[in-house]
Amino acid sequence: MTIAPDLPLRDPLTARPYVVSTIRQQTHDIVTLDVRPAEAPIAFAPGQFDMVYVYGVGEAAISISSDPATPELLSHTIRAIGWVTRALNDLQPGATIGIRGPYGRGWPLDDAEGRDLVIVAGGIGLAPVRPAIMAALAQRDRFNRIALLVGARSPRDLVFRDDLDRWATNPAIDVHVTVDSAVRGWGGRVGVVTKLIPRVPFDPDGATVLTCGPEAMMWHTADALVKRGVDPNHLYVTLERNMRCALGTCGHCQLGPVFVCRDGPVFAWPEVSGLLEEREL
Amino acid sequence: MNPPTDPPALPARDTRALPTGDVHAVVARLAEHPFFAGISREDLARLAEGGALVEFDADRYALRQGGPGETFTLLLEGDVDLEVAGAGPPLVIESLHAGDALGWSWLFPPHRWAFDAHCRTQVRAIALDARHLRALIDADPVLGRELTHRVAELVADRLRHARLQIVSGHAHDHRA
Amino acid sequence: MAAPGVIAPSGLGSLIALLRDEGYRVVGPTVRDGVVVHDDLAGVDDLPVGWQDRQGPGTYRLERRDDEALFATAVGPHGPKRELFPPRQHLWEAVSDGDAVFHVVEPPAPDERIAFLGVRPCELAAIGVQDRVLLDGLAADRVYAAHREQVLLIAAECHQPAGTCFCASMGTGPGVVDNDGSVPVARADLAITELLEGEHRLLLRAGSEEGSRLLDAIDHRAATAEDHAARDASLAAATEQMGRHLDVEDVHDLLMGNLSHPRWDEVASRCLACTNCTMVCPTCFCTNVEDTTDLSGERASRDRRWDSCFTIEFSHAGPTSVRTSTRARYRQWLTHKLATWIDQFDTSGCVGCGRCITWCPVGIDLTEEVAAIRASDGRKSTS
Repeated sequence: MTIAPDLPLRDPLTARPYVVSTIRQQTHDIVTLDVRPAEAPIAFAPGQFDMVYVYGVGEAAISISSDPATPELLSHTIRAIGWVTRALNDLQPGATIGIRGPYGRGWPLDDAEGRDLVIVAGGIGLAPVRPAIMAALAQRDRFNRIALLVGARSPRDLVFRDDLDRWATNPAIDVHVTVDSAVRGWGGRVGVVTKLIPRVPFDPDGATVLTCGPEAMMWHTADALVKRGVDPNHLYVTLERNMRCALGTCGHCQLGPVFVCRDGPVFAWPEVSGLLEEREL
Repeated sequence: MNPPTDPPALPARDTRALPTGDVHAVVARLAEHPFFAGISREDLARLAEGGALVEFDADRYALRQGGPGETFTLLLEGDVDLEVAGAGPPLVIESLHAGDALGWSWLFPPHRWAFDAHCRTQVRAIALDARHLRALIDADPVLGRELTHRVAELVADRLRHARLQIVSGHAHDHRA
Repeated sequence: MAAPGVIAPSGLGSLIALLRDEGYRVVGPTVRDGVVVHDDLAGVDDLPVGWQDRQGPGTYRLERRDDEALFATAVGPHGPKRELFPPRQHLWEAVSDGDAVFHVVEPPAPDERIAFLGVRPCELAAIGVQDRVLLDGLAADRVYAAHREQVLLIAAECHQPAGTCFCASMGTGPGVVDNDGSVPVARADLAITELLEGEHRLLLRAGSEEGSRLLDAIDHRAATAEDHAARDASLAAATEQMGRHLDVEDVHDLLMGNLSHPRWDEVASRCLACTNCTMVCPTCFCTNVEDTTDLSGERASRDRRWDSCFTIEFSHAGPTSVRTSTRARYRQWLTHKLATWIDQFDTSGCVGCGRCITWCPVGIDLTEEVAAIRASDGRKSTS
């Protein structure tokens, strides 16, 4: 498989065709679409996102959730909440969608080199960190411990359960899963994901943390990590804003001095915590 | 102050004290428990008065909703689910594990448990005498303040977590 | 490069004719419906001859002058942005080949040679700012780049600033600013200075080979020291007459250090969030896209249109919008324009044209807002 080193010259706002190969229902309102490029595949970095276009309906910014080693099979994990995401949830295998990307600054795996890599994901937030987990496992000896802390509202809201089951038996990664509530019999931990932070074995002085989830969860995660002694400069978050052009020229995703699409979506916590603290910035 | 009225009749807790009245054993385990980290042996010994090491079998209740808050239980081994009973299977709202403290209703009137604590596994724990602890808090302002502060922190943690659970229930998750 | 020359006002007619002969669409200020707009110019008579504007917060009107001045009006609501980055642009079309397959068709790049005549110095600065945003970012904007490459800029320096003008504060006028690379200013191919003292005449200075060629192609006499002195005097007088002043000293930190200033609440009580200021601003670049299908469903179109940070939908993300209050949206606009723009593009987003003041239906004046914040600077420590 070769990856086109130079993109054909065309408008950066023009989508490329991709064909839906499989659709995996993750939860009642979340699907993972696996798509194959109709043209040459394009390499991406863990944490980057695509603008995904549904014929005649529109575009949505969706994180890439598949293995960066195989750009010929791209996954996007999508919750149906708006016109476009609902249309994406209703697609059938064989459908053509448009994709432009990848965009944005991804997870800084290099920062975790020789350190403990801790990944904290809430709900569908596992999707944007999944490529980072896969990349880290593929170069396992670059890191010390790898710990994955996953939270979801309930067991039925957990995404990528196959992966979680597989990783749970993989000695290369230490997986901790918790849900906010569950009916008796779930058998796993119950409580918010931040509760795991004081308990999971890692070296706070030498840990790089990647976190993705609702903004409130990221705040609590940051607080719990700092309380444990993690240097916030080694804490990374990915932000969600209204991304329309993905090139930093439509203005919608602006957060004070940054455009989330262009300067993020991954940021070191100190880069954005002050901005997020400011109401309605 | 003690609860003004007797609690309603409830199934007895499935607890049995270990065959040891050895306060030293209790103190030794308290010293290892994160809740009491940093408290002197001397104070631990005072806290441990009337306490015991206890064990619960799997699928039994360590505490029952509405039951009297007469013990402060600190988990040593095993998993306990805080549950809300209702129609259908009980809903687990938080699981507690080794190193966790089980409940704070023993400290504040009316001294009754708000939830069921259901043992998912065999559980070993320290059960401190809540009446004794309350009396100690009143009698010794310094140790009392320390203990009250730690329970308040536990309550604050649980409250923060509960609020985060509410927020997560309202906010759509990331990048949808 | 051709030496500066002088022509009579009527001489501009031959320049317009020459440009039209060469296939340029000549676009410039013209009076329509009681306002100076941008439109095609067929001759000198299409310019606002003998008109002058009176502009103030929320007011605009044209008045007759007692002379035949061509460039005595300041900027109207339109600017070159309308042509370089049109309010609605067709991006591409997806054509359905069958059940679930489609292919994307891009329209040809715009192929229109436009000569802007009478571009004000503040507008050259605005084009320079838009160049930074739309050409120098992650990827050059195709529509803008195609227009921009072919455009010819014939500037007109200002001798009669309006009551809402403050280009002198922003360092963008009233004369054409030399582009030494320190601030983004589009280079004028030709700069016109209208001289009214004594004989009514136009001083022409070439700024490019193309401008030089055009100057050589029309009848003119060489400029004299008197002509240049008259220009200096005219610009100095214009600077004196500037209707507004904005103190830009430390303005980035001033605004970003006062995000909780009560003035934002005060201005929000007047602001209608109507988006006028963003629609007339020559540097605002925000856009949204619209997807539509034809009735058969065989063609899906994607268009881009100007958007505004004053709408609630603009910051829509997840279940709600980030900026739901007018306070937050006005603050976003002003802090972006004067502060975070500098973080992003290393230049102010404001060129001092004053359009946002004139065309605000309730007359909100950003120079007054900044001054009010400066007067009660809430920063704990100022450095």
